[in-house]
Amino acid sequence: MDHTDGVVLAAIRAHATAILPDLAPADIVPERTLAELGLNSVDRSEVVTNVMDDLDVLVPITEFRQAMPVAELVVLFERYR
Amino acid sequence: MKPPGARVVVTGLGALSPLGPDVPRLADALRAGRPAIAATGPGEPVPYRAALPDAAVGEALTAAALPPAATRRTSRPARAALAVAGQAWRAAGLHLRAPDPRRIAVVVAGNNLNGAQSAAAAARLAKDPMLVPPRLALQYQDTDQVATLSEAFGIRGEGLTVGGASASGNLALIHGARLVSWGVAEVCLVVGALAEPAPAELRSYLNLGAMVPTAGSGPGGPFDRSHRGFVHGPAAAAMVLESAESAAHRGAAARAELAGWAAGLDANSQPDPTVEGEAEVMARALADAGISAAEVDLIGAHGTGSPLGDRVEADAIARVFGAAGPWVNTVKGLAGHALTAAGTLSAVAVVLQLRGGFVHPTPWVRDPIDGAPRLVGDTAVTTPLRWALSNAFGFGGFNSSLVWRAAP
Repeated sequence: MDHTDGVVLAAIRAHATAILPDLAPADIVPERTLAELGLNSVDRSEVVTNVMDDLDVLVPITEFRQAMPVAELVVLFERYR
Repeated sequence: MKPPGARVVVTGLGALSPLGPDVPRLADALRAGRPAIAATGPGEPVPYRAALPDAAVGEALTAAALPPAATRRTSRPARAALAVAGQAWRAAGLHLRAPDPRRIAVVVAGNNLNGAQSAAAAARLAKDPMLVPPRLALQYQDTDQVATLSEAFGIRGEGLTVGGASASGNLALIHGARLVSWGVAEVCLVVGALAEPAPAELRSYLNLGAMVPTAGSGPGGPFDRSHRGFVHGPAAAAMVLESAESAAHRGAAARAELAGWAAGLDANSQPDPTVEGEAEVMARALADAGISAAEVDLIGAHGTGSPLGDRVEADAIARVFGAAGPWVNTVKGLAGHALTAAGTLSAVAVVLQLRGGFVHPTPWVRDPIDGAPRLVGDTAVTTPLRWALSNAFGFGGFNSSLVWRAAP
């Protein structure tokens, strides 16, 4: 699962901390879910759309499930990159 | 004359502008007459700007000493509003002692504040509708600023936006003053919100002929023959208005009194202002405060640098104040035009001058227009000030004038 170049994780971290500035990028670890880190459903949706726009990746919305750990989000984005 | 009501005083000020990220630095820049207007560069929609970088918003937030969680889920304009409101809130001592939250109101000055954000979302829409940010539904609305402020400061009284184009700042102060004067609220936080127009919206002012059109001969300046239009200078500013009784009860110092006000329309939807409309609100504001024109020491003019606007305001001032009128300056010559926040920034600048006993310079003036008002010149004038006016006028015939009395 760790064969990625880190770009997706970096984008998730950047957008999550832009929404919750009191969160540190290092808090966003692969095994946690964004909900566990304090992001509500609108926050999570905003992170996902911002990452898609940044990386020029379109992931069908049906692919996202509740309570996906950050690592699974990274894998999902990588699949469509 | 206005019906008797509570006296309205200012107990807190906040400012974030190209002249600095807080009130002390705004006061320093005003006293020094330090302009923030600079040429932009190739590819920019306009040739001159007074810039407001993200770093300044960050510094303004630091000056406001808000808890880190206060800026969660906020847009840049909302963070600017939080910064200036937080500065004013602390300056008023409301973080130590505040009235019942239901007796605190919040009025946000401005309309069409978030064009830049909507334009960015439109670009995403063109790419794929899925990419439109969901929070735009909250943030494209100007009321997002009211809601964000209410949450950050626990405000539960009346809240709304007041729009009147470039007169919005004054109209919001008038609305806030009425709420306090009528006893609807003891405290009203009035925030001139940071307006971020879309690039096309900003450029439309230039194509209309209202902005300095080319780099050419420099930015020029208000009431000088070099004027060629306004220069954009995004800013936010805030004032805590409070009944004199509430301020005394809390032990908060009154920094000035908002002693009179007037607003009116020109019955004209176009951008051209009128001497009649502007003179009328200045005269009515003086009557509202119960003073004569001769008692006024300073006018913070609307003074955008538009040749027609400057001509009309100079003539309106001459009509009300005669040939030997009070000192006149305009913060726009230094900071640029903050559009809907301009009236609030100008009001903060006027109150700082009343308190500091100085009249800020007008260093851009080299060759005043015919019949120019009494402009200050290259260096600040140090003099006790008792009464001041601040004007704000907007496209579509919005006229407004406020009368400020120095605190005793």
